[in-house]
Amino acid sequence: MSVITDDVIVKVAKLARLNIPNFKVSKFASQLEPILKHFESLSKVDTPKIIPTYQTTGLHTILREDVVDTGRMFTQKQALSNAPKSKDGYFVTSATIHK
Amino acid sequence: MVITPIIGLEVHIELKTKSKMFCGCDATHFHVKPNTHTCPVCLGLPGALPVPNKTACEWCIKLGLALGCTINEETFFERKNYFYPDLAKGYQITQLQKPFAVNGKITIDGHVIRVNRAHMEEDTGKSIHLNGETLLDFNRSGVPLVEIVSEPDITLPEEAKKYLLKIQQIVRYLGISDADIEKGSMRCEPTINLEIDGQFTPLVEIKNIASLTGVMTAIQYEIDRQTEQYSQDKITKNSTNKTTRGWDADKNQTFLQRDKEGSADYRYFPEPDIPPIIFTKDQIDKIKNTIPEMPDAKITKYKSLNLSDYDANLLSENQIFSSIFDKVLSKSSDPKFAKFIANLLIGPLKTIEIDINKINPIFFKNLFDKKSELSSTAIKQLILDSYNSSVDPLVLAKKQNLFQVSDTGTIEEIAKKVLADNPKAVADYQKNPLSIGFLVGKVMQESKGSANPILAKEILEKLLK
Amino acid sequence: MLLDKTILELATGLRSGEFTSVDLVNECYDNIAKYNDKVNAFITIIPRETALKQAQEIDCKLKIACLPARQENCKLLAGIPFVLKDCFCTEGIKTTSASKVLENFIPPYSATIYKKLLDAGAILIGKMNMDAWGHGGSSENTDFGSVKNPWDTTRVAGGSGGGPAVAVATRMCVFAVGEDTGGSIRNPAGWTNTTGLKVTYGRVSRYGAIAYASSFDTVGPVAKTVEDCAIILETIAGVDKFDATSSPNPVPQYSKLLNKNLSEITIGIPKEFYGDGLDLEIKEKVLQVAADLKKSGAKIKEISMPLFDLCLPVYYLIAPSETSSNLARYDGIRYGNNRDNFTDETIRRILIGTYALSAGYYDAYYKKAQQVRTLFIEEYQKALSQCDILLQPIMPNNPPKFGQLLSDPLQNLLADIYTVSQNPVGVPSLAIPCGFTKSGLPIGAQIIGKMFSEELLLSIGHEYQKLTDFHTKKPNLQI
Repeated sequence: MSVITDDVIVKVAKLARLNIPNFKVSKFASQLEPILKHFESLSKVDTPKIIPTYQTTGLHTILREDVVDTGRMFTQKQALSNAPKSKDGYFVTSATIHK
Repeated sequence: MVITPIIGLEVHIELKTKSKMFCGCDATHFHVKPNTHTCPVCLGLPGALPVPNKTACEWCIKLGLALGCTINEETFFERKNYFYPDLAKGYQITQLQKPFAVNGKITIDGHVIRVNRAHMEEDTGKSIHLNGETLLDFNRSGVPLVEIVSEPDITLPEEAKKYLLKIQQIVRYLGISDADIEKGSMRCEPTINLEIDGQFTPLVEIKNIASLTGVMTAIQYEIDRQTEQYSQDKITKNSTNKTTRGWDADKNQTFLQRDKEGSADYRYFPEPDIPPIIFTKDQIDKIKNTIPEMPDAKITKYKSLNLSDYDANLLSENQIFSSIFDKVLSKSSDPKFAKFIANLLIGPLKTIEIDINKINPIFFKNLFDKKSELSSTAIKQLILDSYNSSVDPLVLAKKQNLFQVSDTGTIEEIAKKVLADNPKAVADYQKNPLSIGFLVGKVMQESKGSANPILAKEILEKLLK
Repeated sequence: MLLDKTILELATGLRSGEFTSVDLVNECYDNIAKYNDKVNAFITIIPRETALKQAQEIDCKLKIACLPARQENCKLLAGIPFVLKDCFCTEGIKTTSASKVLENFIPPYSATIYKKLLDAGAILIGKMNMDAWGHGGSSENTDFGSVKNPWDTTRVAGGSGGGPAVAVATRMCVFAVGEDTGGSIRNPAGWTNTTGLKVTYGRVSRYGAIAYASSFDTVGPVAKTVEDCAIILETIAGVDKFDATSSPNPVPQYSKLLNKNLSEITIGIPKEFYGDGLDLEIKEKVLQVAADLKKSGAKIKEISMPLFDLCLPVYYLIAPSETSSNLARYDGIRYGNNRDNFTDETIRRILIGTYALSAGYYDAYYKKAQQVRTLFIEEYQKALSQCDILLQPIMPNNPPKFGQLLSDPLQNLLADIYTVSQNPVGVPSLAIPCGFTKSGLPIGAQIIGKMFSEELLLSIGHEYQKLTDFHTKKPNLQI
């Protein structure tokens, strides 16, 4: 089906925001290739009419009432308690481009 | 060159629920201290799980119904995966394959704009870019949004504006959002390309528009820019050359946003943490029954009462206004009465903020019944006074001596006296009948303003024959 | 040793005054001092004084309550020391998921199950080492040093919940709570001679449990005996308004329902699970479980589950897909360190998952796997309509030496063959010790039932532990 080349690893790593150093790219490609090849066994199974299962609970319509739950809300201090960098109540990160 | 703009609008409406979409945090975030309305869920902490807000779902269905959509009885949420610092989980919980509402429409000046879908999703936090850093506030993270996507049926900037105003009106009528573009509770992203002599220019999505005028200006700018661009490069639309441009309101132009290449791969998949949602036909009907009479229906109704287009539109403009009108109208379905109320609501009563509970339809009816005995100035003043004091305007009119004399005998007496006292004016009238105004004025003066001016004029004319 | 006793025996002793919770806690910390350096089971050891203080408070309360151990308002877990796999958020106590990404993360909130255990009066003494994010079957994929198997410290303890299982096996605590997504409770239970329960999906709340694969993750007990697991389960199970996938099914009093008549039970032996690739000693010991239960009246039936090894691509496409998304929140901005801190094994899983979900591959990989998942659900339903429980091995071989599994990612994946079909389907599985190899390494077996059949599984396991004494054996760490 598909070949896991270095380019594929680079592209997928970018999608996943992973900085993979160049020297590791080929290694990952060679490790993932046999694994993904192994997955090809799935194509042997005939599934055109099979509905995918995304959950096994059998539950539906689990909703909550529109009520403010102060018990779970954090103070500003708690919200920022693990922030590597914060300022004046905000989380801080280095400059990002507009969405 | 034959240039036809093809415009689609994506609108986000922030619902004014008390709590957020997937957690119980306070959903208010305007002028709130940063990061004070957060919890493990909307802050994207490890181990946190989403549970959907029932009211938000019901309001999305309500909006879908008001837009004439078909409501999907079974829907589910999906994850839209992308990275951005204000997206706490690294994915947004939204809907793709099965939105709550599909296939609706909005009609603008007889032209149908199809609504492809209206679905539920969550908002991101806010980013503030300052001095090479980005400050992040997650108070807004997780606030419920309804996304309304139109088909590219809009053809003019003006039409886009009307479409937006219509959505704004509908949403406010339903009471589900303030839909304030300046405050960000209503956002709009147009996607536009042009058909030029049978060829199509590449699609452009415009982001960062913060006002209604901005929408029109941005769209017009794009129409011009794409026309120019096409005349130079003749590049036509294909599946990979859609771009995103930001709107710069200061420079009044769009600029290409660096980070976007073609279409991002969001790797949508069904949200495993939230079971599917089922609303039965009965439940959907129940929601439908809570929808008040919508603006278009009201306009049709008002026009059938012989109100002008202008008056009908003005009265139905906001739901409170039209509710007041309907409340008063309940006293009588006489078109003249309708017109009478309309004039008062659009006139004197528009100057104050009306509380519908203080409106007494009987006061209006009483004034209407006695309108021949009161000057129009008096009526305008009386309706305000009676609203403020909750006293019947006729009682006030009597107190203030505002009743006009409509007794022809009395007026005739005064008229005869005026004619006798003003021979020059009589002579002027014989030469120029339009100068009767002077004599009418004299009758009003003699009667201390209490004479009915229309009758006075009639009687004078009769005497002067 | 006090810590050799079952929870019920401890609860009785605490109330009769034979010993105190302080005694239990002290014994735990003494064993930690003796053994933890050899096995590296802990990431965070709660300060002894903290645990002792809680123990003293419970001892006072127990004196006042003074009711027979089985009375309802006397919580059986009161005063009992326990540990948590380090994937559960514990407010104010470092929670790392064994990754450098969270090495300094102090959660400002607690997992539901942690709150329930505290309410019951249980005493937390540690956060345990594991494969980071649940990614692994050997507890080697950790940034805190591998966990060692107390039965042979040159070998792995199993994973991803190696730390909790080892702590129970070496009597550094009375019980543990772990998480099982594809064998993470059962695999180490089998390799350390402890008893562990993978519950029905949704039986126990996941709120506060750091997610690996959202539609597979389950939270469950690890202890010395099946009866202990029953007591722990009835404390932690139940619907949670913060977890939309938690089941509203009422929670039976499992510990009171352990004595079932087994003569009506049929045990299914799915033949595909006993084919080539399964170590012969393990095969013999696992099948012996059925033979032993037959003595109590159970019937045995050979059945077929032909989909069998397709469970590997089903699991290894869906779990990485879900984890690639669940791990997207770790951007080092609101908490934790940045994404450069993921291990290679975790990176592999994120890459596979991202790839399987990406445009052009979604249908062939992710969606296809979810379709075959449906077929597995049907296959388990069919199998469990022919018999009451299924008996399967846990691992095809004995715990390998260090480095063997991680060096070959494909082999690492294939080793999970027996434990990765139950999670996509959602069915519960109880892992019980069933013997030893000639060289003295523990062997475990798993019994699987229909959704929400924990009551049945626990009864059968309890009966088995009355007939056998494998579960009472301890590793010898005096060397």
